[in-house]
Amino acid sequence: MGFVVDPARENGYPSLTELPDAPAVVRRKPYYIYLMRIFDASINNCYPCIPAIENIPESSLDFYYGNTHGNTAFFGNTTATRFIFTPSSN
Amino acid sequence: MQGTGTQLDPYIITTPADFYSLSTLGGTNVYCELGSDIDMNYADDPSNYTSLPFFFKELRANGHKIRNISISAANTNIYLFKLCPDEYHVTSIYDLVIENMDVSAQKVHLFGKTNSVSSTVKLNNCSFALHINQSETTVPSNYVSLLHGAGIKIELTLCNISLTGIWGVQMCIFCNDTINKSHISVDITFNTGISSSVSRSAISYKTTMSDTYFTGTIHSAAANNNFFGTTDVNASNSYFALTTDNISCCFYYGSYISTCFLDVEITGNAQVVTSSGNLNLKSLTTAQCKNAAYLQSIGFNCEEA
Repeated sequence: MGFVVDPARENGYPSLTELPDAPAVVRRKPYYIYLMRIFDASINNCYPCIPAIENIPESSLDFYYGNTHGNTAFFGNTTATRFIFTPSSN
Repeated sequence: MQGTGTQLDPYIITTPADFYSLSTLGGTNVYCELGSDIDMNYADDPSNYTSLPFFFKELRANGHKIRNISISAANTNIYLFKLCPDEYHVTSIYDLVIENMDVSAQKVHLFGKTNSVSSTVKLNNCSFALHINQSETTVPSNYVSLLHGAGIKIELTLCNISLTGIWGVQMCIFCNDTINKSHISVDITFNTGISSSVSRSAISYKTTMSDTYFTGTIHSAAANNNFFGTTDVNASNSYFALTTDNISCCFYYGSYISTCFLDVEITGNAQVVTSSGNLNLKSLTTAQCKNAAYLQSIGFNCEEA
């Protein structure tokens, strides 16, 4: 097999039908959850860790992407384990 | 971990811990298989990813995935998979899927090793989805690429690679490599412009390719930026359909052994420069690129569906 020109594939450009499917680049942060202190911007303080929850459904964690690992952000200077982050942290 | 690492009784890797145990159990004559997807979320410390030891002669992944590798390591050069630091050897990998890799660092290589002993990695029927940001703004002077560090060569056969990211400057994806019957899809932004003399930054540099195609988009955040598609390649029956955004000049240099083509209607306002005197790289319109009869008439080997 070689290149096949099929309007339904590769936007009409030639493609190789025997290739494995490309997985999507989903750009979703992996759902390992951090043991963290929750930063409260208003009083510049940190609350204790929240309880651990294992086996988190992946579908519930899409919101997680977009937060940073900066020093003052939710995930700053943390040790990784499986804890859950709630967006209503402050 | 099941198995003894022989060809008849390979190690069966089912967890990140199994994989990391290859640091001591693995070697250049060890055979492995993936018995399930390897989800790096379930490594002991997933936020501190360390390179998975690819310490084997052969890995048959059986379509299983290595997924959820996530690294944020500013100002650090990293490689994601570590090859055995022994004598020259060939590492063969079959039917592996890499999914949801999200890496940010100064400079990234997929395969690397701790010494300069040369190695070859053969990837067969693999499918990778990589989101990689690189902050490095200087084009490396040695023979390295996104796929590998120094001294390593990659041979791709029937592979499908999707690559996105924001890079400080254009760097090679392939360098001194071989690509056969594969598809490379890119959506990359370069933040720093390069001069028209930095040819070693080409996405395919000193690489042999056949029956391979590159699609996607190249963006430049810098004004008057150049883009190198190929330099010093040996190419046959391959094509480039790369949309360019804010690129002033696209270079496709090399030896085109049989008919190849590029779509010049999707390069925006960029000037397209090819090797003078090389008639086998054709500049086509989009309609011509999608017309099997026309492609056959110019010597490109393809069929109508």
